[in-house]
Amino acid sequence: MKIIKIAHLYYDLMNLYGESGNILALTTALKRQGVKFTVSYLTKKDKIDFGKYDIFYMGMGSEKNQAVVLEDIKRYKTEIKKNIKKKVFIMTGNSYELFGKRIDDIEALDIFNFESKTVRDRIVKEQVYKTYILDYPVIGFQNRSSVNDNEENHLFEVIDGNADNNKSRYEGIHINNFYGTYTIGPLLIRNPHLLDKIIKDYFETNKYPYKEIKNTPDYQAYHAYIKNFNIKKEN
Amino acid sequence: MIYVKYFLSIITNKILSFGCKLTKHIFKKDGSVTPGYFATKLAPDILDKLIYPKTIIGITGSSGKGSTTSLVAHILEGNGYKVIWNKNGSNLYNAAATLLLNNTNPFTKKINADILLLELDESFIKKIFNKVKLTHLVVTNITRDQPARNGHPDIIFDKIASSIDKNTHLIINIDDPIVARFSNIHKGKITTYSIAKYKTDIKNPLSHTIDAAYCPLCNNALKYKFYHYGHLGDYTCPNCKFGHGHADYLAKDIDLDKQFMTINRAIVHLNKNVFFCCYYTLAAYALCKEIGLSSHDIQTFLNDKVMPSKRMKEYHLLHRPLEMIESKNENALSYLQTINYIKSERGKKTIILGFDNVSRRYSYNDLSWLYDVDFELLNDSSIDKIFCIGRFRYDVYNRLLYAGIPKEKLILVDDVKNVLNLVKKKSKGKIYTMVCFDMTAIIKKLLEGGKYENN
Repeated sequence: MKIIKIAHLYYDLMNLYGESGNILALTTALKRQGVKFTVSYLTKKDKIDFGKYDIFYMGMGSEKNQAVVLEDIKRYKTEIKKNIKKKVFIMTGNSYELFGKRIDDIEALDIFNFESKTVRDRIVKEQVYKTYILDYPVIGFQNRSSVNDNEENHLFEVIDGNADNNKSRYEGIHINNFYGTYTIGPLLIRNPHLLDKIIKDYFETNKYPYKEIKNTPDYQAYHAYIKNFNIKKEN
Repeated sequence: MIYVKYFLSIITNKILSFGCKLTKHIFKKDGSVTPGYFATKLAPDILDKLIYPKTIIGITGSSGKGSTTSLVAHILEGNGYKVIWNKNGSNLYNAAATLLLNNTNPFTKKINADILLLELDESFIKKIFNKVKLTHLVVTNITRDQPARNGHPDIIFDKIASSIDKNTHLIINIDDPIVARFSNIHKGKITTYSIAKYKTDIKNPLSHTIDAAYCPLCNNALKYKFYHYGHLGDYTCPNCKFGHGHADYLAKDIDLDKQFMTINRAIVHLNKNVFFCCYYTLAAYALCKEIGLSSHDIQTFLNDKVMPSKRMKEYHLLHRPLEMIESKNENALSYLQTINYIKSERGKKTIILGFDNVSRRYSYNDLSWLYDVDFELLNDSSIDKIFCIGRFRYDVYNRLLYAGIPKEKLILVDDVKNVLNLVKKKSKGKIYTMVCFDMTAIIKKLLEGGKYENN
């Protein structure tokens, strides 16, 4: 089996709210599967080869840093388009907005059909979602100052919390192996079912053997939270 | 009629404060907030109408503002000034109103003080000093802190920046590039302070989560000569030359064991043996010097008549010392100070860690900050055991496992009432509680129950 190459994109700009925890979750899960992997930390000064990596992760950043990244990542537009269906992209916080058509008045990567807009009041709240890819609710938190108008391919449906915008019931985006959500947590630590599903799907696509491992401390923490806060599977 | 309104507002505040004092034991409220709430309801512009002392000092920042304020008060009062200051650390609007009105003559509206000294929450400077402006403002640092309330450091910077008057004299910590940016935007007087290279400085940041890897002016990567901790250190921008530069007050020759350092040429005592103490001592020294005190007058109250350290009372658990350190949840650099302090102590150590509530100000369950804290540093042979307590104990336990701390060293405590028994039976060495306010109260109660305390 080949070595799985992970790229943590703009790790030093999109690094708010404990987002590096998602890389810890990913690498720990891969270790448990007994596979070999590398993590490359890539940022503004680097030349990123989107053909070279298997899994891309980017986290939440300040509005200013998001703009810095937007300006920089546009140079890879063609290459990202070429790889978007083939590779796994996990984009949390406002990083997934980079893949839409525009962020306010600035043109974005234009890969998905939505626009994002800054709002005056920050959206700050716990989130509980359901998702068609899992039988378990997804938990997390959001602390953002933007909304988007995406109308298709949603990752989550709101049980309790915030949607893409205040008129929608849905949040995030899931197309092929692209997972985007405003949710922080870190998402992949607080939702072991989701992390395992992403890895399992990736392994199956690549015909790697996958082991079910469910007794990890992540699951313990997840179930304790579900119980303590009486989290429902439906709204 | 309008004068009656202000008179009533001040009197209401005084009566309610007195009432709170009398009923403190019944309602468990210290009366630092409620009187100001009602007084400003009666006269919303009351704070603009008071007659203020000539010197009005604010101290703000993500951490260290309380310690700096206490030390400044100690020096100023020692030198004979009548200082009104928020001793209890209540730094929001209603608390400031309570304090000010309690010290105001209702007939003349004059605040009875030579100097007004306020520890200020970044978000409330503008509201408190709406018309009347601060003469001096110290900014200690800007870091990620209570994100559910503050958003992120850029937002904190903007909040402070928008509340500074051009006539305010800023005293700022230029080791923090986010704070140093005030030099580029403030039109009034600026005094800067900094700590020179120290033996525990690091060449590379501990993690990728530092707050200012990039130049706040031109967004190019900053080059650091060294980091003291977090994003505090000596940096320059290779592109636009934004940089640390020369500080008006430079602390050096730090000796934490002997507890002293020099600021420019003055030798000063440090009332705690932690690096962080250098910052608040330096800030207090710089501010006092700028408002006209001599080095000698400041040194007398730093070196001879030392301010007692605020460290909590040391307890014992069957001859094992137990130190209660309160860490601020949602503030990675506050936790880092605690972790570094525990690490620097000699001998085997046991830690109690956890919380029931993330914040005392709001009920959000945002746990993301746990991954901004460098718990990896606790993966150290001197740590014997870590006990995880509270409602989020599984999340804390999981975070510590992710930090690489062996499972054998971690103990989940389901019933917090049992924590001291477990610590007694299952661990060795000095005990440190690294918990937030809610757990501090519970553990204190257990200790003071008499069962465990033997000193």
